[in-house]
Amino acid sequence: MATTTGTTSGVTDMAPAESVRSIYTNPLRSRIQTGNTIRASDLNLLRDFISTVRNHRHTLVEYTSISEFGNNGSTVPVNRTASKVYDSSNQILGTLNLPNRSRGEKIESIHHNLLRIPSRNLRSHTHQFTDSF
Amino acid sequence: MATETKNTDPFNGVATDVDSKATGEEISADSFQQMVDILDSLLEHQHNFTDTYISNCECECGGGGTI
Repeated sequence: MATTTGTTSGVTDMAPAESVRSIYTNPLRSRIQTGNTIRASDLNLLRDFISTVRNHRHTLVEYTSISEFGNNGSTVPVNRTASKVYDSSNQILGTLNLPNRSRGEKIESIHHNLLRIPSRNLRSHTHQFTDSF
Repeated sequence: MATETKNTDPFNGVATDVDSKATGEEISADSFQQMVDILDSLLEHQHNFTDTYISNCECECGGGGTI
């Protein structure tokens, strides 16, 4: 049975990595350090970071043919390709239902865990796509 | 045209996972930093996928296209 292994595009539906880092990664790494008080705004920023990443998708170029039948190593140009954008929503997510935290409110273990679950799901995630070719 | 639903291979981000916290347990900065590390590792990632061409064969080869 013929199979082929390909690679998706990088992340789509998200701002460029350096832009995202400037909004989320860098401020969070600066703020959340031993000895610092974690502010409600830090937790909310982390939640928003998760929300941003969880919505990412990829593009996959799917081939109907990339070579002539029975002619390995063909130099026939690639044709009949389709670019498929596929949704990740069924595969990545735990629920992300951490309510907005306000100044003076406690940050409890349950809040930590509400952020932890989608984080760990993202850590090892797959995407689902509909293969029509 | 026949279609089928497939999954990509998983992307495995940073090695360190985030531990759950019980009531009364201390939550250190490291725990939140681990979340940040995981998210940051996902900003430029890709996945591998395998296509068996079962859903559509244009070369009349009985269930798997030659590519």
